[in-house]
Amino acid sequence: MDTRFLKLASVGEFANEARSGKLKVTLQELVAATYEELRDDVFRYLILIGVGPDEAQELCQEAFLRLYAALRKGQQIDNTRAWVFTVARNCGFSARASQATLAAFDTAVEEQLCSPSPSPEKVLLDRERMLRLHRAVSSLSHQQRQCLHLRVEGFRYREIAEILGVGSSTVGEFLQRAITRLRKELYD
Amino acid sequence: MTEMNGHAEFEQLLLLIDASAPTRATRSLRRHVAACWKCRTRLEELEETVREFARYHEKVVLPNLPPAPQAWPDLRRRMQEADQSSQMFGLWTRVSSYFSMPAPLARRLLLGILVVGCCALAFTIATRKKPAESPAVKPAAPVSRAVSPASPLEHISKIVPALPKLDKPSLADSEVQVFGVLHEIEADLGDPVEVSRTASGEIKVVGTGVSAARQEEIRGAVRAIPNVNTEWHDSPVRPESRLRNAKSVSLEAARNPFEGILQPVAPDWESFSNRVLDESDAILARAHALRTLEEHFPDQRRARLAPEDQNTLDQILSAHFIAFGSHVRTLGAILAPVFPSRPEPGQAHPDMLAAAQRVDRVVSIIFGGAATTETPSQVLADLSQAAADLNAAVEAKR
Repeated sequence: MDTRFLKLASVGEFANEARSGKLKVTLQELVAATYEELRDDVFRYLILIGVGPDEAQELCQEAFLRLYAALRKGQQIDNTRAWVFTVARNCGFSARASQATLAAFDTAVEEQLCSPSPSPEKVLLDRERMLRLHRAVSSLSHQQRQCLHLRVEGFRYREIAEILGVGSSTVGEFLQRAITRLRKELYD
Repeated sequence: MTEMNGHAEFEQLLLLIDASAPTRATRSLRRHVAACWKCRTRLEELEETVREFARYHEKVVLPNLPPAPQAWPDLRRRMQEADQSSQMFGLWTRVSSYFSMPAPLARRLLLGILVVGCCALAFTIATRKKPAESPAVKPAAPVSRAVSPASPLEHISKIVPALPKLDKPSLADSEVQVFGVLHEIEADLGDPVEVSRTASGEIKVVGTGVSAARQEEIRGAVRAIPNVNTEWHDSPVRPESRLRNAKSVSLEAARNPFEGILQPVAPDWESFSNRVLDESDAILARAHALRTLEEHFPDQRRARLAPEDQNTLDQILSAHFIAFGSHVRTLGAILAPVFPSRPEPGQAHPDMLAAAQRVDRVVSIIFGGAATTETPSQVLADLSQAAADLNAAVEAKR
């Protein structure tokens, strides 16, 4: 099935048609296509909020099963991507045992960035810059980091607010502080 | 430019690179940045920071995340399992299986009694003498109250839908009043203020990034109206309802190509641009105000309002529409020398807001420096047609 349309329109718009049999795809196919399209993004997001890989993979599927259940019940979902991320985040926070995964990730990245390498000068400069940025990102609050990662994934303020369960203005504040901090690291 | 030294604040610059809407504030800010070395440098630093983070995310974060530990399973099987388990416990399945199995006589008798009992209850409710209406409640004139001697169920269906009509006007009254007072202080013209009603019937006036003085003014205006609460958010972020469909604007410090093309008709480019952009802003503000009222008070709801509230609403609507038409004419007159030839008669777009947004988009390209992939002659032709369509939309609505 061609899933390109998922980028253009909400699955919710198609779900009613699929339920009523007007579309030549079933609701299951529609959700399966969405799952194939978004599962890696959702998985990465769960890892970034500190869920272990095994659990992240299970929770990712759980989020899409909930999407299927919600659409089957006739729930109107305007923004499928944001909806799935919201469910994944809620599941992730219930399941997350500790920050161990994040800490392990941070250490691994830092080790890699610090490792000596016979690379050309430009690569070394880049690495130095990335390391500074990495340390600056690590010093941000958990919420600020999430806002940055979601923004770079293409979510808008209102969608980030929906996923994190905060107001759009709060997202603006988080992003503003985060970018200020990064800019300071890079330029001051 | 709210900093004492006349330079853009950090939040304003961030708004420029992040919010991306060509509002009046961002247009003037962009003009300032284009002319100010210091602000342009700071803006470039911010853009570079965002780019660096995106690069860091792509080159450092993503490659270092662990892959999914197993191959992704096919979700269809689990969806089918979910279907089966829910069918097993589905109410309809249980009821169906109940009727299909050989039930004992007593069970069927119990069901029969239940059905008869429900009918009797419905009849009792339907034939109960209606209590006298409270004098405080206005009668819903168009609804016939005559009790027909027909079946009790028919009677119930007549009185049940009528009940909400008695309650609604009191809520709508407050909402109309809120719109009325906001209109009086012109808070419905571009101020980031939204009116909504909660499930409990409370009316909320929510403002984002509204100055303290304006907050006080709005609070004072709605204070006398019962059941209204105000909520304020301090943020550099504009409400997205106005930004949703806006296109990205890239900052170009270079000279606007249209400035040279339109030099003969607009020798004072800055002043000419400001007049055009201000008129376009005013048109958009009126179109948004009209749209907001349409959304809050669709025909069905307006028909249920008390006559005085309908009158208030009509006055607000006509004030906005008259001003909308006036700004459209003014913009047309300002732009007339710009059009390469006499424009074709426009097509009346049924959606005035969409027509206004189209004009604003083209105006932002020509006079605000917003990015485009079209050639200047295409853009000018677009403007000519968009303005003609907008004018036709106003005439059709008139």
